[in-house]
Amino acid sequence: MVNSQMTNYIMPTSADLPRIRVFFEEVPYAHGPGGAKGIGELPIDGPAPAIVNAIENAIGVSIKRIPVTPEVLMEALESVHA
Amino acid sequence: MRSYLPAYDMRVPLELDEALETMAREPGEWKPFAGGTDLMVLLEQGKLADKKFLSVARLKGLRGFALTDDHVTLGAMITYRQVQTTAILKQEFPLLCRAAYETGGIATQNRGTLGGNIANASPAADSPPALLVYDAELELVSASRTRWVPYAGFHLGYKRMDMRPEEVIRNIRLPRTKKNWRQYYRKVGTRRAQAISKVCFAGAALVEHGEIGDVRIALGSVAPTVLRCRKTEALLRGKLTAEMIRAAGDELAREIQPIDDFRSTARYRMRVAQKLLEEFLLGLIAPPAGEPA
Amino acid sequence: MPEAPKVAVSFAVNGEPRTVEAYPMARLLDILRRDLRLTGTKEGCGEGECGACSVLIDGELVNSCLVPVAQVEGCRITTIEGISGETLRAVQEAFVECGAAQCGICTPGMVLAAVTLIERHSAQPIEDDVRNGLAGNLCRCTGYMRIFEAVMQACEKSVGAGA
Repeated sequence: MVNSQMTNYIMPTSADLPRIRVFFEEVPYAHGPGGAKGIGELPIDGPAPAIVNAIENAIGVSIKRIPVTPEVLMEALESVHA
Repeated sequence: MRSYLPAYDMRVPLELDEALETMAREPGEWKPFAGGTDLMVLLEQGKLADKKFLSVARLKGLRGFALTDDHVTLGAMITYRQVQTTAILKQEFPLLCRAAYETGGIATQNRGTLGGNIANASPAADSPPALLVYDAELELVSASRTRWVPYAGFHLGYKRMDMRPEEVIRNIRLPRTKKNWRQYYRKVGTRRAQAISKVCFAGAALVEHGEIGDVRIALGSVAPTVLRCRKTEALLRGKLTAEMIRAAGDELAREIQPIDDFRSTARYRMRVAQKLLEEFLLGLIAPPAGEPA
Repeated sequence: MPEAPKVAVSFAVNGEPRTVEAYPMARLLDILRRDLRLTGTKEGCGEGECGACSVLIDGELVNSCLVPVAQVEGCRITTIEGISGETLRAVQEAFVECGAAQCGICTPGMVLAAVTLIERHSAQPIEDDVRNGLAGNLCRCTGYMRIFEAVMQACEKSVGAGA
């Protein structure tokens, strides 16, 4: 297991998180009970591509791996200036 | 809990002399145990090789404090929290207070000690670069003798120290020579709190009439030990120019030896270290701020 | 392999004197949960990184997973079960009103950290103070926002009133 210790599993502390604003766009799902759909699993898929797309848009370099650590970002930025 | 607890012993001596006599009687058998914030992690992982410990955290003999016109002397068991709340340290040794603030979180800072941090000898420790910049001295004491050593010579190599098995760090002495120096500390970690540093930079410079008269630069996480960068320091005298900053950055790249590891890469550490040096030096040209960056 | 004997360690827990027989390097966390049945304190990581095991020793916030029981002889220990008073009540109410708990495993540690944070500040803390005060308590569920809201709300009610 790659990050089997909390000291290496670098999740954000309360000092790291930017403010998060949550908006719900409610579109009933025809096949769910009362129009409901699952909310637990799907949000896991969206954020990483959205953030990577934003980074690519900002620096004009294609990024093909996550996590986009500062080290990865540095290499990407340097390839722009190279 | 991956360790076999019955294999571990801990005694709690009531006086420093008692601890030192035990250590002298069986050299290398008994290890001092301070706040435990490093050693208990090893115990949990099943990696704590030493088996017999003497708890020294609350020994009065290691919790001294002395203030003279020339020195502040801190007992080795001063906690990171106590460092941050000690008036003379806030006034004259802000880099040490900043380092203590950046170490772990509040719960770690209430238990971890400067002496324990020094003796644990991690190359990534946050306070040691500040101690190097301040020309700290350590008092090492055993049952039979006392000696003072400059902290700058204390770390001989990765986890090797100028300390005998029967010795304990009793005091850390800081000469009060830097209060008019410009001071800078920056830790670049994996996140903003509770992080081990990727690069840690402490610097101080005596700037008079726009010229550098003297300078100290120390880094963590870029070598097998915390590092005082004397060759880089030697290039920084007189009026600071763009050429001098560039030359210092090149020399720094030769003095430090960052590696690839779990937390970061050698290239990233190298670039960041050079950028921190630049930020420190450019700050010397600007008017002095109220506090270190 | 030579084995260390168990030792008797005496200390106060939530105001009551207790004595336990334990291996000297047994973690305070395990003594509290297993021997004293005070299971409010949680093990999140065993490494001192997450703060779920927070307790107060002589009034100071510490991670109990990193404290060998031999070192707490004669100490006053306060667990989440033992906190009381106006500040706690304000924090608890705010946590409920703001929805600051989901799975709840970080909550005992968060509440302890919040109470000590509030009692440390004589004036209303700003959000940065709250973020820094809670930085040793990791939460995987809430994203922290509602916890900040709750602590700020509790602060408004009780700043300066802490014991």
